[in-house]
Amino acid sequence: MTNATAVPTRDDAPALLIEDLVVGFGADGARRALNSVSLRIEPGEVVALVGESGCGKSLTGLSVMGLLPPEAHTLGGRITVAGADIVGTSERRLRQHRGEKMAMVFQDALIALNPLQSVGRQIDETLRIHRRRMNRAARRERVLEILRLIGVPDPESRMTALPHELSGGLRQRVMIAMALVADPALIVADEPTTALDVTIQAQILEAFADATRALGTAVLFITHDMGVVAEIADRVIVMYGGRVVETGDVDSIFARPAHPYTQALLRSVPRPDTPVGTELHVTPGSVPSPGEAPAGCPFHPRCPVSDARCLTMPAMTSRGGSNTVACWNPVDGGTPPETAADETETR
Amino acid sequence: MSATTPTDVADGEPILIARNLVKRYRVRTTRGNKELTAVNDVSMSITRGSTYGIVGESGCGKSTTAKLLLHLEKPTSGSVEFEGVEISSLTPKAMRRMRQDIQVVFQDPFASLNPRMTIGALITEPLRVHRRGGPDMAAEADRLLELVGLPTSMRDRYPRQLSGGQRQRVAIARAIALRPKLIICDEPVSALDVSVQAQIINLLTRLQGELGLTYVFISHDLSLVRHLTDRVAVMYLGDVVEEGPTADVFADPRHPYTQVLLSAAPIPVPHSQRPDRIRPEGEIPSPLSRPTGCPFHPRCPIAQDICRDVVPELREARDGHVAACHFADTADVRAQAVARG
Repeated sequence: MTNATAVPTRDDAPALLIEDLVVGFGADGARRALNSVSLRIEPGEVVALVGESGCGKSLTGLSVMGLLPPEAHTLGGRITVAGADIVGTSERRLRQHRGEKMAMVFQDALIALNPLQSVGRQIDETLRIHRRRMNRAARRERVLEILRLIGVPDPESRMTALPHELSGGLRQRVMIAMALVADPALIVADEPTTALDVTIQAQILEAFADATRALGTAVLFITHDMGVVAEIADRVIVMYGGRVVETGDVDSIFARPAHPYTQALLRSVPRPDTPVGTELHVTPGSVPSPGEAPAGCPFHPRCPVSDARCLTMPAMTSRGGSNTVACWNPVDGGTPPETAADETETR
Repeated sequence: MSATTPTDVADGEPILIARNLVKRYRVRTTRGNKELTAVNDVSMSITRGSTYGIVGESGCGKSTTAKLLLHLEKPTSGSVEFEGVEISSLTPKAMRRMRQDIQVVFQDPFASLNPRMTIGALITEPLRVHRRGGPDMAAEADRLLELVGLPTSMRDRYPRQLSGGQRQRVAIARAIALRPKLIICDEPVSALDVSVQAQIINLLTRLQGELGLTYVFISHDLSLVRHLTDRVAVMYLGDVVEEGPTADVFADPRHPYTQVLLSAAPIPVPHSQRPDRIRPEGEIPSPLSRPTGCPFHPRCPIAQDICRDVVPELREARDGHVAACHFADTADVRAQAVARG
C-alpha cells in the first residue's frame, strides 16, 4: 500500500477512490463478498450504488467508512476518501476521518440514534470532537444552521427532543444533519429513505439533495430502488454478486443499459408506460448469497445472452464518456471487451 | 389481470361487499384512554374474477381493512358480505367453510412459514386442517408445487433452505391448496428483490387465469397497483378518499392526496425526463389525532376554509369514479403548484 506523501486538498483529490477492493468472509476470507471493486466519485458528485440484496453494495459502503464487521476481511485493494487512506489505517486515525472526511446515514434512525440523548446534543457531539476550537455558542449556531438547511421546522425547540419524540421523517433529517454538520467531503447514505412512506420519502430526498448540493458534499447513495436512483443520482454504479458490472451517467443507464443485469433490473418493474396487465420481464433464479457468486461473470447462470466466454470474468470496457460495462455480450451491441479481467488472487 | 377473467363468470357480479366498515381501538395513553379510528367508514364492492387494489401509506388502515375482510377482526360497526351472505351471521360451522373460500398471502414469507415443517407438510397443512386431504397427500403436494412453479424435489426441504421468492411461492401454494375463491394479498412482494418480484407477480396473474381467482391486492407500490388491479381504493387515515377503475384513477386522479401520492412516487425515469414532482407538505398525522373536516386538509395544497370544518363525502367526480373532496370536479394540485411558482 502506497501512502500519498503530500495530502491533496479537497478540491483536487476525488471525494472517493476505490481500487481493486477485495473483501471476504470466513477465517481466511475464502467466501468472497467483494471482488476487485473499483469506483471513483468526484467532489460534489452524487453517485448511486445499486443492486439487490447481497450484491455487496452495503459492504462497499462499510468498507469506505472503515466499519467492516469483524468476520469480514479486506484481502486487497485501496480506498481513499478526499486523499486520506482508509484500508490499513489505525482505528484512531479512522475515528478522526469519520465525521470530518466522511460520514454515514443509515436506513433506520431509531437504531442509529442514542435514545437517551437529545438530538441537538448528538449532532453537537461531532463538532465537539472535530471542531475543538469552536466554543459552545458557535457550535449551537452551527447545529441550528445545519438543521435549518435540512428543513427541520422550528429547530430551536426540536434540538432538545429525544429521538422517539420525533416523527420518522424528522429523525431521518436529524441523522442527515449529524452527518453533514462537520462538512465532510463524502456522505455514504445506505438506503436512507427505504423505511419511509412515499410522500415523506419525496420530502427527505429533496432536502438531502438540496443540502448536499449547497455544501458541495459528494454522496455515495446506496439503494435497491431504481426509482430513487432516477430521482437523485448524477451517475450510477450497478453491482451484482460482489462486482461492479456497469457504470454510467443516469440518463444513459436508463435509456441504454448495456449489461443484461442492468436491463433486467429496469425491466422487472412496471414503468408508467408499461402496458397494463402484460407479463413482467422475468429473470430466472435468485440473487446469490454473499460469497456464493459463481465463477466468471456472476450473472451468467441467470443471463439470457450468456455463452462459454462468460465463465471468465470480462474486463471493464469503456462505452464512451464515463460509461463502462463488464460483459462479453453487451446488450446494445457495443464492442465487447477484448480481455478478461485481471484476476490477481490476493489472498 | 382482467384479461384472464374466466368467461363463465357473470361480468360485474360482486363476490365480496363491505358496507360502512368502522374499526376503533381503545388505546391507553399517558393522558388517559383514547379512541383510535383505524378504519373509518369503508365500503367496497369486489367483482368476481377481478383484482381490487387498496393503496395508501402507513396508518391509512389498509391492513386493518384486510383483517376486517378476512373476519380476523370484528368491525366496530358495518358488515362484510361474501357471496351474498353476511359473514358475522355465520354459524361456526359455516364460518369454517367460508374460511376455505377466502385465503391470505402475507408480506413476509420468512415469518409466515413454520420453520420446523417440511415444504410438503406446509402446503398440505390447510387440507389436513379442513379434513379435505385425499389418501395421497404427497401427490397433492406435488400438484401444488407444480402449480406454483417449484420443483417437486422441494417437498422434503425446510423453509430455511429456500430463497425469499421460493418461500413466497410456498405461501401461495398454501393459499390455493383449498381451492379458494378469493385471496387477499397483503404486500405480497414488498420483501423480495425486484428481479424476483416480477416472478411472483406473473405467477399470481397466471393462477388467477387458471383458477378463476379474485384478488384483493394491498400495496404501497403504486406502479404495481397500476399494473395489476382493475379497480383501486386510495386510503388516507382510515378513509377511502378515492375509488374507481384503476386506469381512470391513475390517468385523472380527482383527490388532491392521490395527485400528490402519484407525483411523489419515485419512478424509474431520470429526472431530466419527467415533470417536477409536487412536494407534499407536512407529515402524516397520527390516527389518534385525526384532523377535523377533511383528514387531508392540513397537508393539502388547495385546502379552503370549508375543508377544515366539513367532512367531504365520497361523491362521483367522473363516471364510476368517486372522490371525497369538496373540489373533486376541478382539483388540480399541479396547476396550483405551477401558479404559485
